[in-house]
Amino acid sequence: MKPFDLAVVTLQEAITGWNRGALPGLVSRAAVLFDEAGRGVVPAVVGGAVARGLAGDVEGARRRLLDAITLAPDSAGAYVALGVFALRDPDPLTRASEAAWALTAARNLAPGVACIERMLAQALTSAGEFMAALQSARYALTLDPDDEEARLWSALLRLYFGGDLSAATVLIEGAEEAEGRGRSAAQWLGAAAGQHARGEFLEGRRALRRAVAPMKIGHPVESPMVDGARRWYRELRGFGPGVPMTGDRWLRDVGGAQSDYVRTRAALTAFREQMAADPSRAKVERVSPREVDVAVGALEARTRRAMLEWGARLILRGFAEAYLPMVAYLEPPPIDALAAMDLVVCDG
Amino acid sequence: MNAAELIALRSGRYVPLFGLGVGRPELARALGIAQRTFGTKADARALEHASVFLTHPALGADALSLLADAVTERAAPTWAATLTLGLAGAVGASDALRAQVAHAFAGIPALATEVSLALDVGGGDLGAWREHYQRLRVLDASAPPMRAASVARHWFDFVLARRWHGLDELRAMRAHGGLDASSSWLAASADWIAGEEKARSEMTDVAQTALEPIQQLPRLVQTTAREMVELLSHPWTVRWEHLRCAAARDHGAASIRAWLHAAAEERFFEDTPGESVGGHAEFGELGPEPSRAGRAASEARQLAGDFLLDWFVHEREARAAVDDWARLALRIYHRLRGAAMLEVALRGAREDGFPLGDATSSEAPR
Repeated sequence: MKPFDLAVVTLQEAITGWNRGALPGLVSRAAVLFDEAGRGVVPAVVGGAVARGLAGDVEGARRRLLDAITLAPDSAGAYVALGVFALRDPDPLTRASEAAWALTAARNLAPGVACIERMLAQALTSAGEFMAALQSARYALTLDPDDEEARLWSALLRLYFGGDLSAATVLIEGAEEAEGRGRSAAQWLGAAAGQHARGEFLEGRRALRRAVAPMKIGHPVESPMVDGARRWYRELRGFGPGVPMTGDRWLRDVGGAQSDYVRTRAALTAFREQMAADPSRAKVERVSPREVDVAVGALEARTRRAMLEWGARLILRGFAEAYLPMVAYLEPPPIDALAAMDLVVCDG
Repeated sequence: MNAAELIALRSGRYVPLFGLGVGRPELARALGIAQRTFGTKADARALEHASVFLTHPALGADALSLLADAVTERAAPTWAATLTLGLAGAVGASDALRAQVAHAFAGIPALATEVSLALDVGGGDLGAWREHYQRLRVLDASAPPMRAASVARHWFDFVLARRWHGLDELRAMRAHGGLDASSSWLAASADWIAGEEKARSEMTDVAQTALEPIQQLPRLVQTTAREMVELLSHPWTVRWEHLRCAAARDHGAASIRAWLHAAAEERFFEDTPGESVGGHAEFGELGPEPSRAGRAASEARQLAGDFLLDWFVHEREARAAVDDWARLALRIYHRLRGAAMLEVALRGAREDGFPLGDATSSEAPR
């Protein structure tokens, strides 16, 4: 077996036995084997960086990946690896822009790869670019309709950025399905988002409990993740069920009966009535009821859009903040991401 | 003013107010300039010329600083400083010039309120509404409370940031009474822009009352009246532009704080019977701080400055129209404040034995 193939097999073996981290001996050996496979050979440099990153030396991995990008800027593998490590950072919001940049470059170099689109959706959501994130998530689903991670992010974006309450069902059903496919319990965080949106509070809490169940309370490494999930869920409860400006939420979302929104709208309506009562004066002053109607419509549409935007900033970025570190802790990098980094053994 | 004087003025070869010290002749000259500026025989450009006399291109407001020192040391009467600051307001000086004059008098305790208002109530000339609002907020929070600053701040809140609580506060303050004439006029102007029909007559009444004691300065009355006509000529147009700006604000941003506030009041799991394990909270108490995402969402607005975001709406034409209206309103406000100060100064001068004759006279008092 070639040294590079041996290194890839060792790396895959190291992450197959993932238990809150890769097997330390194997991942170190993989790093050494990648180094032996050839300095200056891009896939080997990327593999060495990935192995070091999984062993805990994330900064070293990042430096090596940037070197690999300098060495071969037209190779997607290093960009993918850089994006993966940025998303696996304990504070993914800080590295979101870097992840989005790297994965956008990777997508341009290797278009039509589902895992790149899926990770790009995660990165763009963390960076607050929700429309682009939604497009990426949907494209990832088009490329691979069975991708439960892409379905999760697509549904979250549809629900909390698009205001589509029907996406809540996808979130709830997706968690069960994902667990059946061997994904970690962190998937239940998505179900908590869906159930809370539907007003199923008890089920929402249970989903949250299931999501944090593998973590030990008080464990110095794991408790920040548990608290992150709790903090996000607390804000989800403050946000409330449903989507902004619908049903009973409307008055609360705009700030109550004395809010500037309500009073501006009331003033516009009163002004319109005055104009209708005295059209000649309105003509002299060059104001028209039609313009007021347009302003009222625009006010409502813009406010609703802004609320979805602010809600998404709170809930979706908060979700990324809580969910991505848990997944990074409980799950190894997905095998399709390793393939996108060119860390594969070609049979025959 | 003859041609030689005009040329001297234009070329900066003139003696600014109190440029020859703070003796009796200079006090008489200052009184003469004030009276002749607003006299019936004044040149059409008299207001502009008077504003030029306030400072000097080379010396700036140094002469006024010397006057302030003399007032502090009781070597000059306080009314001399009041007269100069009042003149700056009454001639409709720009924000920068008014601030220059006010800075010079910052050390005179008797003028503390007027100096603060001259410095902080403005912002239209250089588009510095936000900075002035910030200073007004500080002033409003100072002790003892300065009601005039409070009125100006709430006026900024309503007229420029389109926040309705500002209007509520102004109405409450007017109902409570005790406001000086110019503050009362400013508060009434907010009512006018909100569509209150009676506000126009109230503004006129207040302005008349404020200008009545200085009938010996007829040009000031005429100028103020002319500007008020301009200010109040298109009530529906201005109201519409104001409402357009109000509608263009980011109303959705208010909700993020409400959501975070609601979240901060949430108890975690413990509020439902049977949710906790063994009768005791399963998890430790969660600190009140929001998530990073929540903090970023609410802080983004604060960093940009809430007032700035509420003022700088995308309805550019409407914003410019309301800004123009606000600029004119504040100029009249300062004219009214200036008129009140001039009245105090003229009274002081009369008590000090300066013969204040008819403003129609072209001769300065001696």
